[in-house]
Order: sequence, then structure tokens, then C-alpha cells
Amino acid sequence: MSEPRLRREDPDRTEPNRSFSTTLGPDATAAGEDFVTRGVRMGYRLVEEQMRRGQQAAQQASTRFSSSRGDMRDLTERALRFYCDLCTDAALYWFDTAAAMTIPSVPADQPEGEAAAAAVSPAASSSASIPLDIASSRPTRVTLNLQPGSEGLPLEVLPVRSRDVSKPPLMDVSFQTGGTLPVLRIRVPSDQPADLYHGVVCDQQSGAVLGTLSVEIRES
Amino acid sequence: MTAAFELTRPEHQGRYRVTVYQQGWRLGGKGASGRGVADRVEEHGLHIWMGFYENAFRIMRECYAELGRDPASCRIATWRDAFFPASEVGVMEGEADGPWQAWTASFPPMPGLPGDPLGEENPFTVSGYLVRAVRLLLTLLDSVRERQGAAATDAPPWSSLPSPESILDGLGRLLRYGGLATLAGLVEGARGLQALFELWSRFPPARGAEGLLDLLVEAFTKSAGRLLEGLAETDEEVRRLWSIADLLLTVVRGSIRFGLVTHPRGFDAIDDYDYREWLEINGASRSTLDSPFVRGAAYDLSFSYEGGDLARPRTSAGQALRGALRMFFTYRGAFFWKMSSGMGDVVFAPLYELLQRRGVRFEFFHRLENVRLADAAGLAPGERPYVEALEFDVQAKVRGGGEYRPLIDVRGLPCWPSRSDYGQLEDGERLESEGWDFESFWDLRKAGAKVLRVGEDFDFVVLGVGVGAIPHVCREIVARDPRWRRMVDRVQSVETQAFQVWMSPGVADLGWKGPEGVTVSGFVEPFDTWADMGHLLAEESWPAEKKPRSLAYFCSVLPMPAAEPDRSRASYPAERREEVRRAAVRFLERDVRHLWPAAAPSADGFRWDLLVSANGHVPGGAERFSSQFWTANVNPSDRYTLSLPGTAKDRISPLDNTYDNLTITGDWTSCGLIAGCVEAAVMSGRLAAHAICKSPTLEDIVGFDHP
Amino acid sequence: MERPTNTPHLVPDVLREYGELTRAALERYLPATEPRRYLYDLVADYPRRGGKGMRPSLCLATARAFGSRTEEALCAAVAIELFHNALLVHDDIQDESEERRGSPALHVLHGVPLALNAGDSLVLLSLRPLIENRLQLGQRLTLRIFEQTERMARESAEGQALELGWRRDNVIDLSDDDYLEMVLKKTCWLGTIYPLQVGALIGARNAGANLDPFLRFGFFLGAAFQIRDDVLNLIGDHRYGKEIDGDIWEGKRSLMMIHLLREAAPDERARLVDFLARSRAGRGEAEVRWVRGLMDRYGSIEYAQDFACGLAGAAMHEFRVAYGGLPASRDKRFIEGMITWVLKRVS
Repeated sequence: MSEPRLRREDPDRTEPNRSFSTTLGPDATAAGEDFVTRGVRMGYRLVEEQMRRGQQAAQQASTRFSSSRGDMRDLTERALRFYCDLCTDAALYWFDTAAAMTIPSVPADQPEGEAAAAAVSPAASSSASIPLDIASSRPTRVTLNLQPGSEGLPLEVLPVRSRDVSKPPLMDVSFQTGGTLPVLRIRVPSDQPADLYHGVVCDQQSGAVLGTLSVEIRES
Repeated sequence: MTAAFELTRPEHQGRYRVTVYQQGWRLGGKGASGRGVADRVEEHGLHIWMGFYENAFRIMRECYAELGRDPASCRIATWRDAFFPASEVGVMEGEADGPWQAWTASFPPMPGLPGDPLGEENPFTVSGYLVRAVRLLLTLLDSVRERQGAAATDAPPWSSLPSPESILDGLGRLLRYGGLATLAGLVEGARGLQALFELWSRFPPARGAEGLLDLLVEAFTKSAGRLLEGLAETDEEVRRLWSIADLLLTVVRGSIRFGLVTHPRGFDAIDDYDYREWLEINGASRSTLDSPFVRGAAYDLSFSYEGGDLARPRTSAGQALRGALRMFFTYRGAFFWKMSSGMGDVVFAPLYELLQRRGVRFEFFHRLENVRLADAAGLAPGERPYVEALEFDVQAKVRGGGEYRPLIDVRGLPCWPSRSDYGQLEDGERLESEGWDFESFWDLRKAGAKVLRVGEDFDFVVLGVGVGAIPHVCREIVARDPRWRRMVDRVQSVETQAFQVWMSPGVADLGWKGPEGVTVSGFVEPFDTWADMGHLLAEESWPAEKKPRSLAYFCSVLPMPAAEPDRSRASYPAERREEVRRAAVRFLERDVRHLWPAAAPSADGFRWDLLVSANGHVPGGAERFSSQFWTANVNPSDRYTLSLPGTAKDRISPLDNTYDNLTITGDWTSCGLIAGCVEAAVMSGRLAAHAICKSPTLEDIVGFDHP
Repeated sequence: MERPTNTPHLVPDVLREYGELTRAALERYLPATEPRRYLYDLVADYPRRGGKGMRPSLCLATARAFGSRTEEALCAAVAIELFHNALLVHDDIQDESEERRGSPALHVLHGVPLALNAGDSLVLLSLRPLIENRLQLGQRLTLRIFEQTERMARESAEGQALELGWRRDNVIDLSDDDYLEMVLKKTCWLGTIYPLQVGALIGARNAGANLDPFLRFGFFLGAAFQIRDDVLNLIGDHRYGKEIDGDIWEGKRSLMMIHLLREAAPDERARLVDFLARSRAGRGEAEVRWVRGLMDRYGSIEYAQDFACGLAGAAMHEFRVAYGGLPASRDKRFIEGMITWVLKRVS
């Protein structure tokens, strides 16, 4: 065997000293600070930074939402989107649960229908007996869940979106009034990507959540 | 080279026997240069030594002193012959399609010379920098006052106040009673800040001070903005002064807000931010963020574009600030120093001569292919992993088996040639006719192979390749060690491009309005930096009848391909070189008129006849550019190391002892200064020497311990 | 001048009382429908195991200290508890923890996919009481609470990401600063800051209330709590509901570990770094004992205890700023008592 291999000794340290107390040298007054004081001081600095960030966020939020209605409709929308981001499971389950929570009593069984590939096909389901006026060039399934008694209220649909944010929302969805009952009017553009779209139905006046709307567009 | 220099110092009395293994025929890596036709100086790019490069200057001063060249026979005999002050610095302001305006400034000389021993007082504290920032602010305010023709005011001397608290009280009063609304009030406020920061170097700021100071600096900025922006509309000079003042105030404010004065991690505390992002958070105005002062100084000069993509300027706020403060506030002698010949001739030739004299052996034409680790299964209990062997390709063998003699004599000065001396190589004629490129990463041809073994051929390894080469030569370490993997993933580097043109008129005749010998940054891409290097012409050997009167260097990043080309693509360097040539021709035709109006007869054209060729045959038109020099620095080891936000912690120190017979060195290591420059490389080399022999001491490495 | 008249039992009593109140109210939100076996039984598991009830108690007590009725803050308390349980499920999976509150962790019982799904469901369930707040608190306040919820959820996620990231990349050059930042995000936001802030919003009936004092107080209280929690993980007995030394097994970057990394001799440090670089399965009993021994030798645990005491002192100061103007009450005394309780608790 040859001689034992040479090894480097371990260094006292490997990183530069960037700290105020030590770059000043041993006489510095700050060097006497013990770690408990330092810990508290660090804590304060952190917490001040947090507050600054909070203020910044609040400022941004206030400009972002200043033009919006600032009522329960916003809250519901934001809640859904926020929880949607938070969950790891990509299933649409989130929406049903959220919807079920916003609607205390959903009728037990709901009729469902399917739109054929016809240009105009009033084929859909609705817990309430609200007529449907739909134009779609592809098979489209519409599910409307409403609290009982909502039919008589002025209804409003919040943006009907896909979970996939890259897909555009369904723009042309509204409740038409005029007759005794409102009519749910849906126009599906021919280039709308196939997917499942969801929206929340509210009372136009109070902003209270009354139900949900799902529109499933399939490939023809 | 620095590590070899340190390990072979006479005081070690020959304890360390050093052999340098070098790919190709010349030393210097990114800093290598060569002499071409007519002894033209041909470089990788522009190399300027900042006045704060304390370690680098110290080594070179010691090197020249020990070498003891005879001034009678050698024109670069001392370090003062080698380096000279070049304080003319400029930035270009404008839009891509013009008009561009040059703004040049001359930095005043400062006491001392770089490399002198440091005084007692530690110059590197955040509070010290703040004092200097405010002092500069006062100078700026003073020049505004002079332009207004107002008289100087006598303010109460703040410095007589005993404690930070009493100064804060006074500043608080100034703030509450609107005292900052006038220029005189601003000056008074700035003096108060200066006095406060001076005290901070002894008494750390108390909690609660930050809030008030933040308010104060904010009010100060607003008030100064109101006062100066009005003036700035009519007075161009005031506008520029204001953009510097705004930058200074932003830095002061950010340092207070982020608690940098006492932060245990110093400027690394803001390493995660991009520099401009951090300035913006701290209230810098849009025009300051876009000013050439920020873009030119912090991004262009350090090639800080991620992936070489000009749309992605990114650099760590911590390092940019550390670098800028050191650059502006700690230089000695001159702000910039230029070399009186190519960097190879001024730096690496004397180092080579000296090291050779000290007994260092040089093995040229050795291309490192693998750093082999000992089998983990064979390690004794408690034994660290270590380098068992170094595997080289021998690119060429020296005729007769002796050492290759790399230098040539240029009228008495030892210099590096631009190509190898095939005459000294076995089979040299064939290698030359087949065009073997000894510096290309993609040219795999070799004359043989060599394996060095631990215990037989070496005890310790100092690995001095660029970070871009680490994944290739240290693939075993990278495969097993997550820290190394993280380092090579995160510490990125970029390819760079440069060209040099020799021209018959002098710079003034080209229409340049500014001073001679200037270095200008922040210019239109793709070549954002220009340096007037006319001083090198005296070094070259041109026939009297066609002696050029100006020499210009241009350089910038080179946008990188998405993936590093496979090693089998031997043509890659040539392809990139051709891209650089085309970009340079386009640049000269389209953009250079903003610098040199007289060189461009029309909006789209360049007077190619101004270029001076050393060859007999001179093509006309744009073809004439091929007689000039240009380069695409694409070899992994030659790429420029970036300081991207959030990557300071991913660097590994030369002191790291995970592999207890291997130490790394280079400007990409964790060496205190996280910037791609010769100073960082020298600091790293000194750390590598310390890792082996505990000398120099860490305290002796200037600026290693720095906030 | 107000003198605290805490009995030794005040804090445990209030914790138990408010904890039970919250759990009872929480039951209403647990779906009693199918599929029980794969989802709703799992969803109900952690909330029913009990727990210290610190979070809902801080919320209820703060609201009451400001003069609110318990019922007005109960929805918020339930939401906090549900969200907390959701994160516990996720944490246990990510940390590969084996025990929770003295029983096997949910994913150990049912496997990761089902546990993950149950955790997601708990997040969703916590939404409902927040929306129901509208009935009692009005829309503005509900919206403001919701905004705080968003911030809290984001900070918590960032904190968790920091800690997991450190472990994945085997980050070792951490400072006490880094630790505090991680704790601020990961523990304090959900553990103390958010419950206190929501309690204050409800109690003050003011959507525009200044919440910064509660951020300060909550941070110092929460950080002291977390450090004590990490210490208990090493020195606790059977009353502590997690596996002893579990943090070392997991390679957690606790204040003690950071201290040890800083203080250990180079060769020990190298071995420690190597230990931390491995996966949980790659760490052995003997090595865990070795790390634990080093912590004793270098005084890491003592260091952390002292550190926590310092933070608790700051918490005391901030308590006075945040609650000083309120009339004396049992709830106010309880909150003050929490500061000493976090340092002395054994479970």
C-alpha cells in the first residue's frame, strides 16, 4: 500500500461574514446583543415586512375590485375560483359541493335532458319549470338547479366559465323576462371549446345566490 | 492561476509542487487574448478593471514586483505600465431607432491605489455606504443650487448632536413643519441623514427608527422630485442629476426598509429580488428604472440577460447593489483602469513567466474530460468522498517531449499568439492543415490520453474551469450530489459576442463628440457596449503607410439556443461566429451612426473603406469586415456567469470540503463577490489556496467579509 | 391598573369549553350522506379526534373580549377548525407522518388518494360557514373576513412550500431568520393571526378595523407556540399526540436543527447533511438517536426554549398594545394566559 492519501483540513467556515455585528469587529457595541434579543428583533422586522405586503395587497385589491359590485355575487365568484385553485383534485366535484352549500335545499331528483345536434334545441333540464331557448351547433347539455320559488324573482347569471382558465367563458347567457316566466337564453358560439361550464344564478336585486347553471358542450 | 500564485509564494518554501494543465495553447480562460496579423491584439471581449478590484490588483502588483522586468528592455515592466486610469465613462440614452444621446462623465480620482493595504477602518458597512450615498446626494443638490444661482445656506451642524435619537427628533420636526419644501430644507435634511448614518456605524439603528426614516426619505423624495422635476423640463443636466438622486434615495430607502444595515445576511437578504424589481418596490420612478444608469451599469456591463435573451434582463438585487456600491464608493485611484495591452499580455504572460520561474510546470494541450471519484463502496468508515483520478485527452504532443513554449516576442514584450505554434507539435503540419481547433469544446480530436492518479500524480486538485463546463467534467459528482446538481442548474451562464474594428480616422474624426478613451454602455442592442481602445494601437505592428488611428471594441450577450448543442456538432462554433459577423455588419450599417455620425454617409450605411486591413488583399464593401476581428464565446467554460436573483445560495464555496482533495475556483463559486469578473475569480483563487494551506487568511481576502 | 387574576386552570378550561362548542357546531357541517366509507367518514375523522382547540378558542375569545356574543363568531370558528383539519390531512401526507392525535394518520388508515380527497373536501366544507356569516354579520364584514381568508390560505401554502422545498433540495444553510419567516407563514397565519384577526373583526363589528396589532401579537404568540411544539416533539411524553423524534425522522428544519447545523463540528455537520439528504426511509433508528444526542450536546433544545421565551416576551408586549384598551374579562385573561401556556404546555 502507498502512503495514506492527503486530505484537506476542514475550514473554520465556508461563507463570508455578512453580518453587521461582526464586520464591525469585536469592539462593536452591537456584538453584545444576545440571541434572544436578536430573535425578537428579527421577528419584528419580519412582521413589519408582512404588514407592508398586506397593505400592498389591499391596495391592489381595492383597485381591482373598486369597479365591481362588492356584494355577495363577488364573494361567491371569488370563493369558487379561490377554492378551485386551492384544491389538488381537478375533478368538478368542487363545484357541486360549493353549489350544494350555497343552496340549502335542492330538489331530490332532477330531470335531465340532452340537446341533439340541432341548431336550436330546447332540450335541457331545470329544477324549476323555466323554459330554455338555446342555439348550439353541437350536442349541449344544460343543467339548472334553482331553489324552489326562485322563478318569480329577477334572475341573473354570473359569468359561466370552464375550470380551464385558458378557455373563454360563455358570454351569451341570460334570463329573458317579459312573459310570466323568465326564459333562460343560451347562445353557444360555433368556436366555443368543448368542456363543462359553470355559473352561479343570483337574485338580481339582493345578490343572493339562488342556484347554479352547468352547460356541457361536447364535440360533434 | 491565482491559486498557483498563492501556493507557490516564496514564504511556503516550495512546500507545494504545482502543475497547471491547460486545454490548448494559452492561459487565461475568458481573459485570454492573442496577437494576430500585424500583432493585432485580439480578445474575447472588453476587459476593464474596476478601481475596487483590490485582490486582483494586489496579485498583479506583487507579480510585477517579483518578476522585476527591466524597464529599459521591456515597455511593460511595472504594474503602472500595465494599467492606466480611464475614468471617462458614458451611457447612451435613447430609443432603438434613435436619436441617441451620449452622456459621459469623468469620475474624480480617489485617494490611494487599488491593492494598497487597507486602513484601520472597515470601509464595507451598509451604514458607511449610506453615508457616502447621502454625501453624493448633497453634492448633487449643491450643483443644482449653483445652477440656480442660489447662495449656500448655513444649517445647524447635525453632527454635534449626541445620539441617533436626537437627530431623529430633529428630522421629525423638519418633516412635520414642512421644512423639506425648499432646496435649503432638502440640504438640511440630507445633512441630518448623513449625521445619522455616521452614528449608525457605531450604534446600530434602534427599532422604531425605520418607520420615521421611511416617511422622511419618502417625503424627501417627493419634495426633491417636485423641486427638481420642474427644473428638469428645461435643464437637461438637472434631469440627469435628478435621475441619479432618485436612484440614491431609492437605495437609501430600500436599505432602511429591508433592514439591510444590520441584516445578518447583508445584501444577500434581497438576493431573491431582481434589481429593478427591488428598486421599483422601494419607489424608484419609471424613468429612473429605465435610465441607462440602471440598465447600462447593472445589466449591460455584466451581460445580465437570462439565456442571453435581451427581453429578459435579470440580475440579483443583492449583488447588483453590492457591486454598484463597491464600484461607486470604494474605488481607489481611478474608477476604471484599462490595460495597456491585451489582457493575456498584461496579466497572464507575466503570471506565466513568474510561476515558471517559481518551478510551476505547465502542461498545455490537455483537455480535462472527467474528474473521477473513488468508488463510494471502497471508502473507509468516516472517509469523505474524494477524487481518485483525472482523465485528460491529450490534444497534441510536444516534439521531443519537452514543455511547450507558448509565448512570442513582440518587440521585447512577451505575448500570447492568436494561434498555437504548430512547429513545436508532433505532426504539427498535419494538425494545422486539418484545422484542429484546440479551444473548441466540439472538436474532440486528440493525439492521446492521460490519466492522473491520486497519491501518484497528485494529492490535491484545484479545478478552475467555467461553471458551464462542470456538468461535463464533473458528471459523477453532479450525478450523486444534489448541491452540485442544484448549482449547475441554477447558476447560469451566457454566451457572449464581441468584435473589434481598426479604422483609419481617429474617434473625433468619426464624429464622436465625447472624450477619447471612453467606455460607453446602454447602447442599442445587439452591441450595447463600446470602448475606444485606440491606446492599443501603439502596441501593434502596423506598416507606417496604413497605420489605423482608432480601434473600437464592441460586445454584448449572444442569445443562446434552447439546449446546449451536442458535442458531435463540430460546426457549432463556426455557425455562431457567422451569426456574430452578420450582426456586426448590420450593426455598423444601421446603428453605429449614433456614435459616429461621420462614419455613416446615410441613414443606412457604413463607410467600409474606413476599416484598415492588415492583409495585402482588401475586399470592398461589407466584405471588408472579414478583415477585422470578431468572436462568439460559446465554449461552456468561456461563457459569462450570471448573478440571477435567488441563486447566491446555490453557489458552492472553494472552501467547501465535501470532497476532501478537491477545491473549485472561478468567478462562479461562492467567493463573497457574486459577479462575473476578474476580482471574483482572484478572490476565489485565493480562497482555494486557503482551503489547501490556510493562506492567505480569510481576513486578508479583501471584501470577502462584506455585507 | 389591571392585574391578571389567572387561575392555573383558566387556559385549559377555556380551551376545552370553546373547543367543544366549536366541535358541536362543526358536526352540522359534516355531510351525513353517502359515500361514507370512502369520503365522509374520513372527512369527519380528524375533527372528531379532538385537538387543543387553540385556533377556534382564540377567535371566539377575541370576539367576546370585544363584546361580541359567542354565536356571532361561531361560524368563523368552525371554518377555522375545518380548514385547519384539512391542512393537517395534507401535512401528514406530505411529511409522511404516521400518527395524528395519538392514532394512525388518515393516509395510513385509508391510503393517500382517499386521504387527499378527504382533505380537499374539508377545505370545501370550510367555505360554507364563511358564507353563512352573511346572515349574522352582513355582507361587508363577510367579504372582509373572506379577504383575510384568502391571504391566510396563500401565506399558509407559501409556508408549507418553503418547508417542503427546503427538505426536497436539502437546503442546509438556513438562519434563524429563515426559520421565523417559514413559521410566520406556515404556522402563525392559520394558527394565531387569522383567528385573532377574524375575532377582532367580528367583535369590533368593523370591516375597516386595523388588524396590524393582531398580526404582531399573533406572530409572536404563534412562533413561540411552534418552537415549543418542535421541542415537545423531542422531549414530549405520551400526552404529546405525535411520534416522538418524528421531526428528526422527517428531517424537519426546526430551530434546533438549524442551530445544530450551525454549531456542529465540521465532520459532524457533514454527516448531518448527509443524513438530511436521505429520504425518511433511508434514515435509521441509530442515526436519529445520534442526531438527538448531538442536539443535547450542543444545547440546541435549550437554545430553542430560550428563543421562544424571548418571542413570548414580545408577544406580551404586543398583547398590551392590541387588547390594552378593552375592559377586563375572562376572555381577555384567557388570551393573555395563552402566552405563558404555549411555553409550559406538555401536550
